[in-house]
Amino acid sequence: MSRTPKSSKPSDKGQALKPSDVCVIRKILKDQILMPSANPFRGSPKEFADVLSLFRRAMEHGESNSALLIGPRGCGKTTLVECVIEALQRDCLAFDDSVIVRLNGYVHMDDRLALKGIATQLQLENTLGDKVFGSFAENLSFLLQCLKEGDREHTKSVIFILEEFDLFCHHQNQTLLYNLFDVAQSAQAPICVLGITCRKDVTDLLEKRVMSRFSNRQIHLYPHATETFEDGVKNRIQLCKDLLSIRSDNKKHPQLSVRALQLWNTHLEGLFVNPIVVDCLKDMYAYTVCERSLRNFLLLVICRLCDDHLEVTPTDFSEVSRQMRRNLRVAFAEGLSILELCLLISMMHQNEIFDSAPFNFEMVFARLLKFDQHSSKTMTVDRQVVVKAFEHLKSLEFIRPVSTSSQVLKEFQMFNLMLITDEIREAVNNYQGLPTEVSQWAFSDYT
Amino acid sequence: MVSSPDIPDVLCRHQEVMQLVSLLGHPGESVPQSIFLTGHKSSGKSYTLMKVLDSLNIRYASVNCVEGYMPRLLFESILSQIVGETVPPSARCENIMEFILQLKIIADNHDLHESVIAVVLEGSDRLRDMNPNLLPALMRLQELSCLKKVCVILLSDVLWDKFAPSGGLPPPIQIYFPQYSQNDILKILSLDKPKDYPADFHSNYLQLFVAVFLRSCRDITELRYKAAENFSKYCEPIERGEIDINDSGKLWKHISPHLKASLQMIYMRFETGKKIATEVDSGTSMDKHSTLSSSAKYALSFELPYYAKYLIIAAFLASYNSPKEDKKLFVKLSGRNKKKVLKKNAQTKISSLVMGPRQFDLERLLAIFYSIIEEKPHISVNLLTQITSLVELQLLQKAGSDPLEAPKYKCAVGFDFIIIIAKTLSFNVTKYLVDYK
Repeated sequence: MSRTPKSSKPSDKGQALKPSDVCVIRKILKDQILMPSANPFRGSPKEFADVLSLFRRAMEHGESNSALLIGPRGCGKTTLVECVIEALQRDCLAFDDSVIVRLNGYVHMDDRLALKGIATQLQLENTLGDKVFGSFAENLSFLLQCLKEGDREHTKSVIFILEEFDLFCHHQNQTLLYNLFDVAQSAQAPICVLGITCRKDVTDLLEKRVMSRFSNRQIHLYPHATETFEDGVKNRIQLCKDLLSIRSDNKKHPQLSVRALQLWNTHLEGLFVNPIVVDCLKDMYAYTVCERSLRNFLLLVICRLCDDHLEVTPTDFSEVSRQMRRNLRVAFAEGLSILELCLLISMMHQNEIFDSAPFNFEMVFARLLKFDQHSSKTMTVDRQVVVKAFEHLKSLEFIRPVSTSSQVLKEFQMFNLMLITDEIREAVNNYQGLPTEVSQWAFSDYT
Repeated sequence: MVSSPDIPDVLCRHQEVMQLVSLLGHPGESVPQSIFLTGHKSSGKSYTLMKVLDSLNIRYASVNCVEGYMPRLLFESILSQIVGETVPPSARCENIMEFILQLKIIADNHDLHESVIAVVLEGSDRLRDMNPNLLPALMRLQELSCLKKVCVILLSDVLWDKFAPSGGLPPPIQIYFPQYSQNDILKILSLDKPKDYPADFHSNYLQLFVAVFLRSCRDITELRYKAAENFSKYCEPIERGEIDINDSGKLWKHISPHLKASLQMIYMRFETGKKIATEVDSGTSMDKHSTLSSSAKYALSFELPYYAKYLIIAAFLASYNSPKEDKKLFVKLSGRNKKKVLKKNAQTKISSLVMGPRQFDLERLLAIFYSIIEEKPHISVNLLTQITSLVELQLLQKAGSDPLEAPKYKCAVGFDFIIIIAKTLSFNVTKYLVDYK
């Protein structure tokens, strides 16, 4: 525990960070954590080089091409592309002469919208406005025509980045993809099409005529595919260090003194050899390799920095980790009223007896009444109140209807329980002020 | 210098407030793409969030997804709240692309690139039912709109697990609002203390109230309503000078039937207060009232005619007895044989009473009707219209819409209802019910 209550005094210049420094540090770290492309690119150098050369050739030599970038969600596909573009911006002379068009399958839901998006990004809406086109292809070729000036060398090259590429495959007739690939293949105008997707089978979605025009170049990104668990944990810790440390060449923040920066970085070194922190990260890695969850985790840790909490402590890690790992289903069940919890217990017994066959309200209610008769203290269970409790469970989606036909009366609609026995029992254990007969009932072998 | 923002004070929600402030409250810092607030109904999610956003002076738009049931309504409402005036018709958004475009234009015009914009979506579980691309797009709004300070805040009383199967959702920052504990509830309810009564008198009342209600309901909105409703009754005898203000025993005796009656009416919000009060005050009808449950009152409120009552009973018997048993039940038999039938069926696995009604046709209904009624009314148009009116009242359900087929029905009322109807006729239904133990 290294809480430093005294450090708020300005005279204390020795070892601790000042509150003002901590604010700046927090800001820098939040930026680093939340904007993946703000950091230098890590890992996958080969794929990076592939995409870089693809784009570079398109920009410098006007070479048309198409490719797919495939990798699981959150593995850094978009970050890779953004970093490539940034790198090109730095050292490619032709960068200003080329246009980058970004399309996203979530946004451009059909080809009409996609075309509109292309026109907007090429800044050609005005030219498009009053013209009538026969077909989509004419429309697109007109747009690309607009970018041509004279011969091939002087044509602006266009780079199309299609995110959520699989969703474009569901557009009618795949017109957009067909035309893009067609243009790329037949060298009408220099364009480069890069699809980004998480679906490995995406080429199966392409129609034959589209497929034949696609270059079939696929770049796979599997950063975690070959690493062992130990290596993974090591990489994880390194990643956390990278995300949380402040590079000395950071010129964006002149307010931060070199001394404070060094103090922070040495503090960090100490933090990541602490067994509690390492255990937290290891534990998390065992559950998920998703980098976004890790970023959320680190963000919550960093958010705990404030004027009277100037350093990140191992306790912060363990507390945030506990918060994120908490089984909210159990927590929700603990928040139910006793009556609702009793209903859950009845459903649990019903499931045990009838081998998880679906149940309706009447069955559960009958079971609840049976319990009520056996228990010494009669609780006033009015049918209507129980119906309300049942409906509350339904709205929480703790129980899910088997079918949604409106023909069946409400009391007889069949449901499945979406909680497992252990979760209900855990909630019963944790429940504050639960009558003993209810908890005994929950743990009894009801037959 | 960055000053620590002022932190609003929300009762029993200090931790959640601190967390929200630490995520959103520091101007100039990046904000997460999406935050997911989850917790039980009326656990103060919206209230806390609004308090935090207001006190931090964050520009926000809050839409309930019940209202914004179409993407267009959702988008327009968000935009107009961000601008602070209604959006001109030229800025109509039919889809997410136009929405993002408009959002960018607004950000340019109002110079919002550096200030946090929060988009609050209440009841966000409903977004799952809309276009499957909508929710993933909204959750990536920051990335898609290139506005670095847009944060989408989803509120829901459904767990995040239930959103996940649709796939492709980036994990949000989750903040869980735990249910109020008993002490929290007492604290919150005591906020509504009327001025004319001392605090400990009111808190005594709340103790009694919570002891009765908390078993069945932890919804703070409903509890507040019920507490206020019953408090006036609690105070009535004191105002009339019948009971001393310190005589808590007598006061409890006075209020407990009221509380029990009120518990049955939970969530219903019937304006029954006056009726109950007059009955209780007259004293004599008190016992009768407490024996009558709300379902009984419901059943009697129909004031069904004599034949209609027998018809609904016949329909019930037809629905819950298998046609195979009809002969045994309704052909006049001696008591001995009837007992045998009952014993045999006591061993059936699941009672048909819990499995729901079966369909029956008109002929069977009439046959049962004639066997249970003593006099024999002629089959007439009048009798048949009774059936139609029972269907109209939704006590019977008509199954199948084929006009050529003989009509089939299902009984749509429960056993409780039938028991009460039968009682008014002094007719023993259970005698004819195979599955009744």
